[in-house]
Amino acid sequence: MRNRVREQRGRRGLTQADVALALGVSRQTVISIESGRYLPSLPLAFRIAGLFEVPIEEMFDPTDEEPSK
Amino acid sequence: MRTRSMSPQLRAPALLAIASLIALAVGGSTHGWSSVADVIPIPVVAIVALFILGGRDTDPGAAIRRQLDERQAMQRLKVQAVVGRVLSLAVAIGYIVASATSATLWPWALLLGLVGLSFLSGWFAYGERGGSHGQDTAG
Repeated sequence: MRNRVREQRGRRGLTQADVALALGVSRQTVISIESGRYLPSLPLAFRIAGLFEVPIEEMFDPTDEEPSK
Repeated sequence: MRTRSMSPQLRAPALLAIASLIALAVGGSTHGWSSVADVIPIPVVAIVALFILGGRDTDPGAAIRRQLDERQAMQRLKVQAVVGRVLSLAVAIGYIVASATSATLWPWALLLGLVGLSFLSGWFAYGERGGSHGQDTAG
């Protein structure tokens, strides 16, 4: 599943540590989500979408299997 | 009155230190203090290693500090599953070897029983029991 976490984070000039702090997860988890190695739970996915103020279906795209690079 | 909470990095090493002291005290009082002196470096090294690893910004560090997020909690579950499988296999092998060599069998049988019991209780506790709240009707 493709996600736009890295893209959105870059757009806002946030570091992975900033996002981790805002979401209440570890920096390693943000790295894993960005690289597509970890699919977040539904509550965390909603928190991610809320943080970047993007609809969840735009943040996570189930039609694309490749993680965002 | 304010209560002081222990640093998360210190918790696991402190617990290990207390457990080690109890074990050493029991061992020393039953087998003699000279025999205990030889094994003291083992818990000391383990305590220092736990403290150092617990201070790192890594997944094992978070596990030692007990500050796991959802991915790390899932990782810990997977690690525990591996430990459970390895131990279950070891117990099964131990039972087979003990029965083949006519050694004392009951400890292995007890452990095998515990493996089976924990397996069943795990399914009972965490398995979804359908029927009571099911809404599987169409429309």
